[in-house]
Amino acid sequence: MSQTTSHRPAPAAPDCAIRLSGLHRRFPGRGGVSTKALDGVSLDVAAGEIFGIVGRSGAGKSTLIRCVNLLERPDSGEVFVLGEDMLMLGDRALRERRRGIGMVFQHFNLLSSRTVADNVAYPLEIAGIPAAERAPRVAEALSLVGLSEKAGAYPAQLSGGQKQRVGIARALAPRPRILLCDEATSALDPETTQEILGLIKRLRDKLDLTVLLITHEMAVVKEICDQVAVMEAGQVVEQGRVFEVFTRPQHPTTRRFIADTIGYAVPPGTVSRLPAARPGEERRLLQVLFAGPNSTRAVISEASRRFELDLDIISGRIDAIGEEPFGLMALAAYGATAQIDAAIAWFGELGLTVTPVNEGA
Amino acid sequence: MIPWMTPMLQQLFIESALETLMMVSGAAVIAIVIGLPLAVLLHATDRGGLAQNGLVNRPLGLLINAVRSTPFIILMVAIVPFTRLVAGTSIGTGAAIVPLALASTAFIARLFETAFREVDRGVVEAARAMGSTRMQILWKVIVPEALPGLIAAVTVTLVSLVGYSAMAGAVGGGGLGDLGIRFGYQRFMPEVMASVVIVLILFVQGLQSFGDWLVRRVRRR
Repeated sequence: MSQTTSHRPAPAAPDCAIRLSGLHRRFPGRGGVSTKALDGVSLDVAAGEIFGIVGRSGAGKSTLIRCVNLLERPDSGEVFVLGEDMLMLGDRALRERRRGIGMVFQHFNLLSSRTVADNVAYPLEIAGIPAAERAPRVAEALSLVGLSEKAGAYPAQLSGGQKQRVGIARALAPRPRILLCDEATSALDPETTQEILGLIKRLRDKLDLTVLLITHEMAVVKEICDQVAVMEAGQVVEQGRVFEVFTRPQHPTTRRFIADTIGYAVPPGTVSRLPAARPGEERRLLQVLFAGPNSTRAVISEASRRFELDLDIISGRIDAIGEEPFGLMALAAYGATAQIDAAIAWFGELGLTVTPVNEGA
Repeated sequence: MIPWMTPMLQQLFIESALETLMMVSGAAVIAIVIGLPLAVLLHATDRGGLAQNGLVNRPLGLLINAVRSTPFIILMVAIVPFTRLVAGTSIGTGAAIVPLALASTAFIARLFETAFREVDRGVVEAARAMGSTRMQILWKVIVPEALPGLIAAVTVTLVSLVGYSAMAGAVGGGGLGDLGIRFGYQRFMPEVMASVVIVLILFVQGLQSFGDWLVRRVRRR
């Protein structure tokens, strides 16, 4: 922490709920080799947004989300939450601010010795709110997550999805403006994941929350996030609106994540049934992603005429991110190598994303 | 009551049982009262604890290990001056409680510490994220979450205290163990020895069953 007060930039703009800048964090490792969990991460999360950070385990996303409420202190960098410099706060003030930042965990982290209602009451209890005022707020929080009838149950009697609902109710009971979700759906089955993600989205709309979530599943980002940052080896390698990042991924890591999520458009086994290329020509498999204004143009037949190619549509589907649709199509292109290359370049000019498909796929 | 014993022996038997009860319960109460704060201190000052402090943790750990590794019969004799200071005398049932309490305090402090360590770190992290103070984390999270483990620790301590108390005869502490040695062994009265052993077995069984029942009641998983 080499910065002095005089060098601090102006506090974040008021519409910026969380501003992280230049965060570094090293962890001492075995044999004196330290690992860089965070290597210069900067992020701005606008108020009211659902911001997703995606990365594989060890990418540093867990450390990053813990820097927001300072469960983890960065070695250097700045953390502003709701315009306030968190690193300047004393112990007492920090505890106060933490009460305004809800957090939900992968393994729920409920108190097994308390009932559902008492778990939700915990954050109110430690904030010194009298018992008489706690009861209605607990009831309110439980009704928000649809678990009012389980108030007297113990966590062990609940399913994973129900436990996470309790976790969310507990995080929301103090009426925070920010919700941090640490792999909140990673321990849940796909159906329950959908349910919890839907709940988080509804609560964001209803309570005007700002949500920062970390996940290793691009599907979670696709489902509810407005913005996404992709992390690798302690750095943010790509960042932007979810639709943009999904339809025009730049970094290889992002491409891999997206391929895992929306999948290749080529159904298995189709490649072997395709006719071979004519002598002197080439057969190439392409995946084309249609999004934006040119997605309605008759690009396939136009390309076929322009570049004297036979374009065989192997498969295609329409998907959507948020409300925005996009098309994903697999083509087998037959023709001269130079013509295929030219067609790919032309697709690129139109704003379509073309990815070569591995023949073995 | 016990047909194969003379009335005098029966009287002695009942007195001895009461002495055992007194030594075990007296030492256990002291051990819990002193052992719990010690365990809290050990746990809190441990690496990654609420108030990490090697300068407190290491000497305290060493002291507890030293007490635990000294054979009880030697500990009892070695601390005679201390016993005299505390109890005013070094012989008798009351005096025997002092070394019993010392040994079981060290024992239970380690068991309590282990119970604390088994509390899910994630729950503690959640409590921190919600803005809990260290005292709130300790008394509202760690201790209640460790409660089943703490009760199990008390049960184990009580059972081993029953065993230790048999050695208290060496300092005139009396008790069932002492009766068994003096009459059953030294006076060749196997029926006394058998009665002592049976009563002790029943006593320990009862303690263990009660302890297990309580743990089941408190554990909500």
